[in-house]
Amino acid sequence: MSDLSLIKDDKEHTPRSLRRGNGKMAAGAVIFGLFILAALFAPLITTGDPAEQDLLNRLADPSSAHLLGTDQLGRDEWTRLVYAIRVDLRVAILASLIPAILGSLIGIIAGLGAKWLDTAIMRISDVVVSLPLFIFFIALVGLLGPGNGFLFLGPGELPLIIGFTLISWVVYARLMRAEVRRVRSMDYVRAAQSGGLPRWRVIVGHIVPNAIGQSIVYFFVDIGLAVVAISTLSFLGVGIPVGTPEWGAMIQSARTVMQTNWWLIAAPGAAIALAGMGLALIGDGLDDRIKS
Amino acid sequence: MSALIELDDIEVHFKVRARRSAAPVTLRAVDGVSLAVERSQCLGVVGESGCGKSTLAGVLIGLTEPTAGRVRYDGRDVDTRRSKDVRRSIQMVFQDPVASLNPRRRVRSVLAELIDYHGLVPEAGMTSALNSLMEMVNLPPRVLEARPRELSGGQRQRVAIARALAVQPEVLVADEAVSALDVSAQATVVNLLADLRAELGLTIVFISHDLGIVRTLCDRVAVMYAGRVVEEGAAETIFTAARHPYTRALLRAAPDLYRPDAGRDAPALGGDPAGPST
Amino acid sequence: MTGTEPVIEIANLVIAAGRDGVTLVDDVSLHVDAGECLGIVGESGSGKSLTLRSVLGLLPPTLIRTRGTMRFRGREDEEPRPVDPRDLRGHGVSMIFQEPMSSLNPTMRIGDLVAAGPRAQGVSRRAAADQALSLLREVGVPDPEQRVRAWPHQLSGGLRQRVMIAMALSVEPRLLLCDEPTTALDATVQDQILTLVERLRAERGLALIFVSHDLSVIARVAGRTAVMYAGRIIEQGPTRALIENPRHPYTRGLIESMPQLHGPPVRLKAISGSPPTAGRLPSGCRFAPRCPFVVDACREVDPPLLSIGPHRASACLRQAELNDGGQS
Ligand SMILES: Nc1ncnc2c1ncn2[C@@H]1O[C@H](COP(=O)(O)OP(=O)(O)OP(=O)(O)O)[C@@H](O)[C@H]1O
Ligand SMILES: Nc1ncnc2c1ncn2[C@@H]1O[C@H](COP(=O)(O)OP(=O)(O)O)[C@@H](O)[C@H]1O
Ligand code: SF4
Ligand SMILES: [Mg+2]
Ligand SMILES: [Mg+2]
Repeated sequence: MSDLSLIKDDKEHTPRSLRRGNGKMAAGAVIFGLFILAALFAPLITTGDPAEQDLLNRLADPSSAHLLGTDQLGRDEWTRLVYAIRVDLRVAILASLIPAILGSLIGIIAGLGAKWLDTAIMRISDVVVSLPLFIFFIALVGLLGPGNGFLFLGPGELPLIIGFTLISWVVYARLMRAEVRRVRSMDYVRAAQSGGLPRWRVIVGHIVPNAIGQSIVYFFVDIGLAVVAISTLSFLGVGIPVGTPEWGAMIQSARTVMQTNWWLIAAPGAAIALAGMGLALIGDGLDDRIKS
Repeated sequence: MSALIELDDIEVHFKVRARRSAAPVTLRAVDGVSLAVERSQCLGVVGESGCGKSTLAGVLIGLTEPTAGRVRYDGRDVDTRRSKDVRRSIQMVFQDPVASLNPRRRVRSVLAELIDYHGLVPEAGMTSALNSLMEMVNLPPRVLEARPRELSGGQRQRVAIARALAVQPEVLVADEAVSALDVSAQATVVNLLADLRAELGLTIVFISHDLGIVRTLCDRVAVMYAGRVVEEGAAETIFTAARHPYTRALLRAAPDLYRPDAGRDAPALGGDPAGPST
Repeated sequence: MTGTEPVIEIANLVIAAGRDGVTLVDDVSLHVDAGECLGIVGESGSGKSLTLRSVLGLLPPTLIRTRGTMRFRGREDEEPRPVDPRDLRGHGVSMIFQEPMSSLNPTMRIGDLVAAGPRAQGVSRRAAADQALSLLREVGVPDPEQRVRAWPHQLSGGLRQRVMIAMALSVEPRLLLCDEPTTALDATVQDQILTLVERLRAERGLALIFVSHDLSVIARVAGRTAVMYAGRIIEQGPTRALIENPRHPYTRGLIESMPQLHGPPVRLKAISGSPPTAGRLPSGCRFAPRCPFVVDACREVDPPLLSIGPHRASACLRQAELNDGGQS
């Protein structure tokens, strides 16, 4: 019984076709990474001040001084576009991260907790899904106005984050609940339980790590969706106020000069699409990886 | 000497509904099982799919609450809220070598977590404890650094046995632990279990549908049918002089390498095996 | 009845993962006569299923048959002729699988499932339904008049497998391919299915290829057996002779690692190590790293499958020394 067979070579055993997803991941990560870098090093690659006006030089065409020209107030469009990353991604990430954390915790509680708790949570989530919360929310923000900002958040950002949290925790809670229930009956979880490990260690060390994959995938897709939603709301005037360097607000204010300075709309539009696509690619690639 | 494990009239009933709207019916997965296992003995439990073997195993390791009956371990009553020490004493090896190891953990981390939690060896002795566990199950130490998907089925099953042994149990419950393996890998794992029993004095409850393996490994055999034990006795008696018709049908149905036609003249058992009664 | 001419002949079959990818099935040749059952046995991953699937051109999309010819004899009085695997589907060859549930369309009733084959060949609805009924009766489905209206999920595993066999028979095949049809079943149910397969072979003069990882199952149904290891047939011969006097160390290892139901209980003898990964074969004999009989010469040439007597072949350099050498 001297069995010293070799450990199988992992790479060899996974056919190449099953390791796809790496391409999508890489493409998505490059796009997303560029956005992040641009946001971090904004002062170095722009004129440095998105609010600086040059009233003598309004609606200028693109030139070496103004890569994307200037807007109606003579502000440098490229600078505004780059600084807008900070606003849009900050809000989108928080508007996805907070519901992701809250929703996942709620999902874990529903999936592993007492039956009455599960029933209660699922009923509440049914209600959230069935009410037209988004419309209430838009109406409310429209009535109350954007406010003055909060901590490091600018005007209009906190209401957006709260609104998104109220609505999208449900997706994470349901995803997590389903996954946790699938994983908790796996043999390795039963093995950890019968090894005598306390409940929280089984949950944290064995159930959650194997249940969280789908939520992470959705998290990345969700950030992309949030970017689109935030700029749409800002465009409609119920999100980030006009004047802030924010893609939706920029499109809104450039509407009147669409005929002559079309790039003032095309550039933020393209930024929204590119950010959404990069995040969707990351999510998709992660999904492929998890499933293989 | 009283037995190490005694099961006294264990019942596990589930309420199930055929449809959402249908009235629930009681499914008797285990229906009055009494068994005793002596220390260092190997008890084989055989029976067909759905007859309640895994449910019974769940009761033994304290993950399934019986609806009635008592489990006694070393003379004491134990249930699903058993002490850390009792839980540690009865360990299980599961059927599916893919599902039984956490795919995100390296072998070392799984084993060390258990040893550490139970404080079984001092900090400094961890490496040598892990190495000797690997030696016990005939795996090279570098398997410790592997993730489950890098291992073959036979290797995984030996890792699963190592995990069970890590907490220094008295009893090993093996639920179809070799069914998913090829004959040759099956033989290494069966031999390993036999050696562990001889060397460590482990008590083994070996659940299987393969009569040949049960015969090789076990000294007592319990035959289950539809949630009940229909026959129990010394292995040789069961294999040579079975009394219950179901046991005989099971023996006759087992394909035999050297006697492919043995028992062929007798009619095969008609119909499907009975599921649990409802 | 035993035909003297093979129903099917496969020569030098090679299956690879892509044009110049890893070879998964390597130079496999086999034939089956009418009324004969050929068993193929080997560990998981040895290429049994791929060999069987290639007969009907049912390989997974990423794999291709890079070499090999196939000749099929459609009728008793015909000469064997080269065929395209696809043309055999539903015309002369049927196949049954390990998992009957995933191979039965869950949205069709049992009767319609069994009648579908004949219907596709232009048999009238009425006649096909009658035929389905009698087939279900023939394969031992109790109360076939009621069961024709049942859905697949309402049947037990054993009954589903019988339904699958009835479907396979409905197109009047000359050759039936069986890929571990009893592996998922309980012993007593497996016994019933094996008895049924035996009976169909004898009564209908079907040619059968029966794949299993369990040599004792093969011993029950197959008159002749091919042993596969790492993509190759390494020994072949009449089942009885092969079990009583194996002439390849791998076959011997397989037999010795099986637990026995008779005689004094003995410790099992495992084959050391595990099978090589496809594409990472050792040089020379592919069994050499695990072989207790290995000599230096074994690592230099890959021994071909050579005839070693009437109907027997072995791919071991030292097969002669194994002859009645061990194996009480
Ligand atoms: N949680 C549960 N809820 C409802 N029914 C259950 C539950 N667990 C098991 N059962 C049923 O109880 C019966 C016995 O199940 P068990 O898993 O113990 O069978 P087994 O003998 O281990 O079968 P196998 O050989 O297929 O593993 C089965 O009919 C099963 O469907
Ligand atoms: N779709 C596929 N793609 C790549 N390799 C495959 C595929 N299907 C099977 N294989 C490989 O081919 C070999 C033989 O497989 P198979 O015929 O299914 O074995 P078995 O003898 O268990 O039936 C194995 O190494 C398996 O990993
Ligand atoms: S050729 Fe050599 S290595 Fe291969 S099976 Fe024969 S004795 Fe063993
Ligand atoms: Mg079970
Ligand atoms: Mg197969």
